[in-house]
Amino acid sequence: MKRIISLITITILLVLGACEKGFLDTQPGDQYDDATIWNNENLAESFLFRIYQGIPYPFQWYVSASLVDEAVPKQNDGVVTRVLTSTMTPEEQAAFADNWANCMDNWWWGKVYSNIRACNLFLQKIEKASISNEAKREQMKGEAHFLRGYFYYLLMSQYGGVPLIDRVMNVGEDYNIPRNTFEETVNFIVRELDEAVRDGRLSGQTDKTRATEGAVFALKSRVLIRAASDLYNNNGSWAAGYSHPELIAYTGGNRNERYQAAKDAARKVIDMGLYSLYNAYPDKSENFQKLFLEMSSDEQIFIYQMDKVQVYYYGTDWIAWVYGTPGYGGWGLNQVTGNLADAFENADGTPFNFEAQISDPYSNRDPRFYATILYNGAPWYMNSWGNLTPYNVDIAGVDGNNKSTGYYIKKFISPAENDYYYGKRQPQPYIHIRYAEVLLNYAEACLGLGQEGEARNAINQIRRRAGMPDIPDSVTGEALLAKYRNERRVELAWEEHRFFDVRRWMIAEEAYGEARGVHYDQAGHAYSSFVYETRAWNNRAYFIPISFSEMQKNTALKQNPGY
Amino acid sequence: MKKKSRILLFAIAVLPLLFAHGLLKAEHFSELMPASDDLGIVIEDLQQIVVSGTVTDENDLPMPEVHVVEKGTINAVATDANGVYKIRIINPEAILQFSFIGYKTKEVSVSGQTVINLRMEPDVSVLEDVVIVGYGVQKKATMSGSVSVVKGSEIVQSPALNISNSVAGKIPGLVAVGQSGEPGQDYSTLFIRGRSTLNNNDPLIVVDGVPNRSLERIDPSTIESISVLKDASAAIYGSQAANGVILVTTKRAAADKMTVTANYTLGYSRPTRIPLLCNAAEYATLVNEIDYYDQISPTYTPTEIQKYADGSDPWRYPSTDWFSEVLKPWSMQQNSNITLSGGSEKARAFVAVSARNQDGFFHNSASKYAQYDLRANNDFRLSKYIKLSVDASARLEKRDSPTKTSAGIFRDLMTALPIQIASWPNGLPGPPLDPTTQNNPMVQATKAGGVNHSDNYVLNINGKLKIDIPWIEGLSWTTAGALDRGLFYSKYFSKRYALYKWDGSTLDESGNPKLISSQYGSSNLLQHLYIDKSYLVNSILDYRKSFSRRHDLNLTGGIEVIENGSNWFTAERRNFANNYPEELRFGDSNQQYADGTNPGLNRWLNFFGRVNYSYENKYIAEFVWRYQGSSKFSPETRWGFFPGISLAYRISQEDFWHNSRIGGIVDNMKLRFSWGKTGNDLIAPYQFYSLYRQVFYSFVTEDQAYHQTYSESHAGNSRAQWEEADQINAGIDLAFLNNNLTFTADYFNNLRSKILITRTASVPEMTGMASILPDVNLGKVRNHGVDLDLAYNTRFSGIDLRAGINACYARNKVLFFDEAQGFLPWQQQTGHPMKSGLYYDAIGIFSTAPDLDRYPHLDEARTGDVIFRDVNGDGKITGDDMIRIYKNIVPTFTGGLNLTGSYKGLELVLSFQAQAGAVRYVQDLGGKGIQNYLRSFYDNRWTESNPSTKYPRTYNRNDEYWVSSVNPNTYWLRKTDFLRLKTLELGYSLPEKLTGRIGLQNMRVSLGGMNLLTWSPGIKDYDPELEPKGDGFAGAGYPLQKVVTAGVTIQF
Repeated sequence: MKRIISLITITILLVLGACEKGFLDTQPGDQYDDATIWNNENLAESFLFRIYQGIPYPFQWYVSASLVDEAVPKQNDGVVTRVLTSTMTPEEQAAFADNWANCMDNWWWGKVYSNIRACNLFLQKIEKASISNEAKREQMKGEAHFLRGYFYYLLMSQYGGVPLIDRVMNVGEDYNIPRNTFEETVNFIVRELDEAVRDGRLSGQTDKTRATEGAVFALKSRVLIRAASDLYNNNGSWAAGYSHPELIAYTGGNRNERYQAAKDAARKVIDMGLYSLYNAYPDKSENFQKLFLEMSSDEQIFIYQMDKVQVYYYGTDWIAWVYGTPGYGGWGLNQVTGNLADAFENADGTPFNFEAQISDPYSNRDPRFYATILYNGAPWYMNSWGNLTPYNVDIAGVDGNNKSTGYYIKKFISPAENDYYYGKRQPQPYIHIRYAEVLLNYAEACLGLGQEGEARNAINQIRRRAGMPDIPDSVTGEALLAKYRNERRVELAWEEHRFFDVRRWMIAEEAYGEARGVHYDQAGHAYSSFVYETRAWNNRAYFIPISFSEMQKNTALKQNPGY
Repeated sequence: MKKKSRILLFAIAVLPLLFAHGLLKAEHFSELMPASDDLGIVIEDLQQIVVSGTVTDENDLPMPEVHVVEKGTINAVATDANGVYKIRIINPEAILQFSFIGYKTKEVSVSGQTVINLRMEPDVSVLEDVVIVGYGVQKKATMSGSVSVVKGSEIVQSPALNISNSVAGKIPGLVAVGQSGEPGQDYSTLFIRGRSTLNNNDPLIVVDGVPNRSLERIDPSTIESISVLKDASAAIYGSQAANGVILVTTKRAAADKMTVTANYTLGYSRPTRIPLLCNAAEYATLVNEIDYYDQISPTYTPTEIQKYADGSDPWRYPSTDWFSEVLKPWSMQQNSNITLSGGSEKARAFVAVSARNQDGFFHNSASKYAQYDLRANNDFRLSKYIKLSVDASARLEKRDSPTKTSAGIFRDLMTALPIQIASWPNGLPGPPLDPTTQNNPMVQATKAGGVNHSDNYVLNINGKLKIDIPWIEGLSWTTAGALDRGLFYSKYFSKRYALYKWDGSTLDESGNPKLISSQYGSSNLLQHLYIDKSYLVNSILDYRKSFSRRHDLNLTGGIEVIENGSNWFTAERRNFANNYPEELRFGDSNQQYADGTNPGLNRWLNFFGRVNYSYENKYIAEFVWRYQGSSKFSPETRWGFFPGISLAYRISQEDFWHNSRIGGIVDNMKLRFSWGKTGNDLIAPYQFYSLYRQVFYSFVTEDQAYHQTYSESHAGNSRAQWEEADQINAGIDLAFLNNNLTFTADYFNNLRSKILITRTASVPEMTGMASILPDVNLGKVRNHGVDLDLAYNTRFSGIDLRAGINACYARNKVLFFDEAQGFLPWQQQTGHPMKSGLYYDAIGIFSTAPDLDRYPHLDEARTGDVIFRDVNGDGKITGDDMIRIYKNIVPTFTGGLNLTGSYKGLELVLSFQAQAGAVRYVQDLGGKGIQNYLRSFYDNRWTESNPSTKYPRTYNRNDEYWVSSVNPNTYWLRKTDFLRLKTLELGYSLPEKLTGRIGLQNMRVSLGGMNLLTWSPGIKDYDPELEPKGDGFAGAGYPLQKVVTAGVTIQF
């Protein structure tokens, strides 16, 4: 009996012992909770860092250049075709949907808005977060405003006016929020950028991977020059019958003022005196190539550095690996179009003419041509498990049975460093904004204001750095505008500008014609041009559609014209 | 697995043998009880005879509480503490029935005897009479809930190495859906009575009283029974019971002489189904058709197609059947086990050891599985009042798989083109399928590409102490504890492998094609360690008492504490210079990575109980409850009360029934009804917190400093709680023909509410919340239907025949769901079965040009394309024309037919499984230069000369609107109805004369098989049961197995 009693006692103690007070209060072991993040300065800052990572980067399985006349996507399973043939629909978001292969996934509506939410959350929480010094708090607030402006600029570029959400939304709210007008959207972005630098918030910030005053003004010049473009300044007349032109264009006001604002913003960057065109090598071609292979330079304004530890192949490794020439070990998945190759002028400043120069198309061209494109006979390297041997690109050889445009990308790739199989990785950052773009934005604003001399001067700064002759004063009016546009095209090739430029200039009809390539007949030593693929333009593609499901969730939204 | 491990295996097999043997020897066998004195005849009344006697158990110990009934009457008594009974009977020819839970019911005809002493025999098939239920056992006869049982002996008939694959078709309402056949990864998901929630539908698995253990890899030869609680009787498991509860009970030894049983089974397996794909000439023909539709010149000339067809130039024009190149015809599997069982009243042991292994389908397969088990269930009687059981089971699961997943290899087998070389005519492996993937499944399915090896150790220990309180008769106190540990250790080592290319022209000196070898893949080592641990302590008071032999009362109450948790870490180095040694040290120290974390502890604090009352075994009422707190929820929502009530009426026990005509036909009729409220807490914990997750990659500032980054991962919802289920069940049990024909039918109606829904459907992405939306307890689903079980046993001219049919029809309907504001009435989920898809309604093919004028269509449509129905009649095809269908991947009907016939030593077992009412989206993505096509498509496709109205034209991957993944349409929906011969076993037990001569008690040889025949009219190219894993790509996923086996079992 005694045994039984003692056993029972032990049992009772055992059971009671198992359930201490607070037994059911356990903590998540793999994530932080709200209080932890906002009571720790480093964690709060790391939340801000995450928002930076939401800024689009143009290189993925598909390069964004393949969505316009700069490149062709070689493995095209319909994702890009929808864009290239203007057949995207609200149901089919194609390249703009959330898709790992997609260079545009950070341009996707849902992702951009989730980054905007992160900015809103940061701005709400930072007020009460424990931050050691107020200057740091102000600086981080400035950065969050810059980022919020950046994300709305992405939306504006694709959709026009969008709902402007500047607070943290919650479950259960009324989601039927209509789109703001195009003008309100632009003004909002400008306000955000002004807010970013208010009271010198960013004056202590020099890190170019983060928001600086230079980055803020440069972005402002980009946004304003886009807003001043043709597409947004003709009352949406291209979309006849569309009942909400205010969503896709200015419906009043003065275009000159817009150009002036764009010019002022660019001027501000120029006058900072912090930035200059990179000019370190006497060989102009080499100089232009090295511009993208420098870890830092005065031309950089806003940059992005890859995490080379976790993200195995990325950044410029990725470009060499995925878009590089087959001989270099690459797969040539995105190849430069003949259209872009032909846009590079002759070294004397005359336009290149393929038919006229067919016997020797690659001599005496713009030095930037040799730094940007690998063409038949271009000196390059074979890469065999990290061993580089010089050779000349042979498009007949690399062509094989595979269809190829005959042009591969060279810009951004560093053969000396790039050995993507054995750990030697290109460390260079991707440049989101560089000084040359600001000069071009400035030139475009001046052209809009009729200040041709000033425009010519800005363009010529870039041409001189590139080793090209000045545009003579005799070139004016439409001819000068054409020169400017071509300059922008070759200087900023594959840097995620062209897609938007052809739209805002309303020259997309021509840009979405034929994508050309070149054949080389080894036996006859003869080049011939061919149509790689035929594309198609429909004006509705000036803006991309809001997705069908988003329209169903928010019934206050109005769709863009033509969808 | 060479010599060393064989010795180890031997040791594992023999040690417990020795152990058990020693145990038996050390034991003092109880002395026989002296027989009771004759009690003599006492004639108290001329009309009445008193019969008396002593009832003893198999060890001749007196048995109290044995029910003694004069058959056919309500005249009954029970034996006293000394096993003595005394009953007055009226009819001198009466038959006395002796029954006790767990023992065979015996009948003795009185025939004038006045003293009848009886030795009861334990019922080997204990389950005939009692059923394991939550925290206890119940007599089947007086059960009021809906509980079905399958015996261990039926499970061992299946050669499946995973029990979840063996139970299909065995239990009414238990649905098993095959997920993969890959060695070590093969399993079926189990559902009870279909699916009731949009979230996790997994039933709670309780093994020997311990919840959350896994059922799948238990050695089948150690299973005594599996009970499935389907209704409110599960409410005693509270917030974990709504999906039903599966109780697994392992075998225990009887106090009997030691028996040793050994079994060896050899099996060979192959895929149940492999899609038949086009050969090279057919494929080239299709590619030319695409070119024709694209208005470009054909890729292949007629001469080339001819060469592909005649095989005259295998170097340049191969025609590769990838499946037969990579898969071998049959793959071996083996299973052996030894069980020992026996002991005395004071100490008994059941010990089982087993080893099994299984080879993958690939030639030189990198995919393999081996498992070793040891179980020892020991019972000790410490004193008259104290019983102790200590069970331990240890298991080692060893898995090998290719470093490229098997699902990925099967995907490659589907995509690989027949014009590509798998291996060159000289035997060297062919080139990569394409330069981007660098794959060649021929090589990657073998160890040449490296192996992902893992060892999974599972240790389950539980002990139970039962004290019969001496002062109060019928009261006992049981305290149980369990400690489970799991340790999963894996080593993923990928290697570079050589593939050979040929430029199609260069020859070597001897005039043979000159192949160039290149290295592909990478050489990395990733090691991973995952540990999970859980413990349980419970303490239960149980009171069982009969009053006046009419009122049977059982009260149970207990408290329980459960905790489980896990943590893991990984370490990795890349760029190994050599393929050996496979150790981290030899990797590149500049490329090393480590990570690790834990998801947080889950804890439950439970109070539970049961009140069971029956009056004359006729009117039965039961109430079960649980009051439960769970750490998954916030302090304000974590506690809940879950009651369950059930009532039964055994109308056949009424006197009038016996006297009526129907009573002569129907031996038993029981009506049952139950209602209960249960919960489902299989949801992510900590939903009430706002959470932030570390992002995989760092933010690098200009100074090259790496900064970790965090993003909002979840917006908190402090009101989140478990799902609630209201379960109603009404059933009837019938028995005819002397209980040889039994029938059970149940109607169930389960209303699941507060289903956690992520409101992605209605919350616009514009809120920025798309990926961080908290779940909200909003959804409501009704799942109702019937399940039936019919069993018939008969015996004629020496033949024993048993037949069982079970079926379940369950249909669910969404009553509330989160819908987008702008959803059109025909697109809403509400009112449709859960997760039914939204599709364009494909109503045919634009067979001829006039069809294009007849139907609204997309601009790009042409003849040979699929017609989408213009649902809203606006003359255009847009997203508004998508409709919600009334089916999904869950079958509404599932069932099984089990037949067993035996004649002398010969036994034949057939087990069929059937399902109907489900559809699956099976999109075959053929494409030019991308993927092969199904032969069935080739044979039937639309062409200008064969303007089919059923099959479309040749398509190119996503290029056609009706193939594109963003336009899902009903053309690709296939019915998955099937009837399958799941298990077949033909056994022969050698006559005892023969076995006795060689010193064996029994010897049985058998032939068997699994998934031998399948009939599925709606889906012919793929297995109808397999739910493809991986990326849901048709044909991807490791196929299910068809197995043939031969086995031998000896007993001594």
